[in-house]
Amino acid sequence: MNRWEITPALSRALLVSGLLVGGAVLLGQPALVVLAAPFVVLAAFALISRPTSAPVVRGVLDHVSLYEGQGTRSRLQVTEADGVEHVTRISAQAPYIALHPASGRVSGLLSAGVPALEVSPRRWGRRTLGEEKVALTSPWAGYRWGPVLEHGIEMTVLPASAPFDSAAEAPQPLGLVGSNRSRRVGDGTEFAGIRPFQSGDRLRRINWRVSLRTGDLHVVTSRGEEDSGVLLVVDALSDFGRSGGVGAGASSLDVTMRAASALAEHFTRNGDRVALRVIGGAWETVGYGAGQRHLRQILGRLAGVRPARLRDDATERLRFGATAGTVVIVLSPLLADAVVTAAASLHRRGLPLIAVDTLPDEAAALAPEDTDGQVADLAWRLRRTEREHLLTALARQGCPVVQWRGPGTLDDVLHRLARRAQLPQVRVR
Amino acid sequence: MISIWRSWTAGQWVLRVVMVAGPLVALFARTPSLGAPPAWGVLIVLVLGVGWTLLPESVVGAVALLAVGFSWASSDTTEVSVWVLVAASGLLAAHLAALVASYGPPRLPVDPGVTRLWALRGAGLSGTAAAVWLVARAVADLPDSPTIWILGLVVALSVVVVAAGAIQVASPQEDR
Repeated sequence: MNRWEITPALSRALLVSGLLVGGAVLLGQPALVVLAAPFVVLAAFALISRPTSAPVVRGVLDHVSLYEGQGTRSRLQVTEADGVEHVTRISAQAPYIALHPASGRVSGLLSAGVPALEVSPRRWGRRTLGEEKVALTSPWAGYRWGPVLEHGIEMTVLPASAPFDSAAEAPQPLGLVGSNRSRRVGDGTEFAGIRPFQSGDRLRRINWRVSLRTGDLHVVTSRGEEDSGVLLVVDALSDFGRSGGVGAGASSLDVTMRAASALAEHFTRNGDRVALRVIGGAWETVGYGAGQRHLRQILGRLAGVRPARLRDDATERLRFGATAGTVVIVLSPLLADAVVTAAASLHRRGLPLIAVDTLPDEAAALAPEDTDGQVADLAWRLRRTEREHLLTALARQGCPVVQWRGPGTLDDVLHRLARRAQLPQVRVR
Repeated sequence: MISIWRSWTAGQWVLRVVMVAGPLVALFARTPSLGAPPAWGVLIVLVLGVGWTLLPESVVGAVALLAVGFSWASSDTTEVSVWVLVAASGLLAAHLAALVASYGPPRLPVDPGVTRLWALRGAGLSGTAAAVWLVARAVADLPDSPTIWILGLVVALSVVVVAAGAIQVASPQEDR
């Protein structure tokens, strides 16, 4: 209804004042005029204040990209607001969007500013705010504009980084400049050894104590420091368990995304090159890169992930683009053959690979409502049994599988992989 | 119906109480000068008031206000008691409470700024009732005073309404 309409309050004031004044004349009762006087004046002010403008309302968010659990304000821009005294906003509820006030209803005088709604997304992903109805009222509540329907604004909700830190170094750093201790001798700070002076050695590396003792010049050598490639492989084939949003119960995809976010943040902060592959319907990829800008790109891509199955013929054509020295971290509830097969094939190539189990202990498949509970329970137990077989198969291949538990999840495995990297290996290409 | 009541915020409850109490106060205000209202009259006003709280934008509110208003005309006396000011304030308070309530659905919290604004306006509008009452008292001793001042006031009020209507017609809005 995009025009100014007379309000029921003004209609009531006109009706009451008219009939009371008419009754006063017909019945000769002065008391009725006294009763009618406030209504007459109120109606007169309301009629005089009739607006002639055509207001335009537009919803805006202070921030359209947030981490889950953060908050922002949903504001309403009202232009052509001449003759508008009061604003009412009614916002519909949307999944995983918390509003304050919780009812999503605010109102107030325009002179005090258009009332704002506080919005907090509770789960990662692309979230759309609920539709909003806006009504504007003229001075003295004589006329109303609307309610007009405002479509919900879309926002990108980045997965909150789960608490994570790791003191372990990358097993096979093979890059340019970074913070990981390389196996190769280079221009780093970590002591590697002392050897006789060679042409081209820097003078400041001469170890004078050893040189005087042996009678020949000796220099100190150090290990190079290189960055490492880290490939995050995210399983988005399906989502197990019920998500209650940040701070509540987590589904398998919640754990996966938050763990991937934490790992990407950690390795990016260490100066490593991080890449992303999402196994799912859309096969999202982000190439290798470093820095905050790259991290935002990875998180944005994670936020756009929706669980979807691969086409049957797509499983065999998965290409991860992992080069030598890349640490591959597969984040998955490990319930799909395709993911386990991909992990095993990467491991056979000799790449340091860690499978991170992201299936929450309390997770269960969400069965349709009309499904028999016992049947659903039995089916879930069968899935769990199949999963045990897959985990056993992975373990038989020597592929480490760790349960995601936040800080220190990868330390032990990375240390072992670093030690294993020193040993001669036979690689399948 | 209980679920509807439960959905009201505290501010909406206060508004609803005023919507029921206002007409009742106006009805009982006639007791000193015109005698106590009949029980069935009280019951009707009460029922209408409760209905009005559920549907603040319906015509039930106008019926409740008019029922109380015309209860003041159910006597032959033309004396304008001071209690009519209480009645006028009661009816106006109920009307304004319904007006504020109709700014949004029942679960809408009532904005304190809006409440203050309409309380001030209500006080000013009650002042007009007091002014009219003073005029009525002043001309009460004139011969044939009821007819004279009623016609005078009706003319004055009509001028106000016609002027307002004329302004409205002079500035037509465009449909969007």
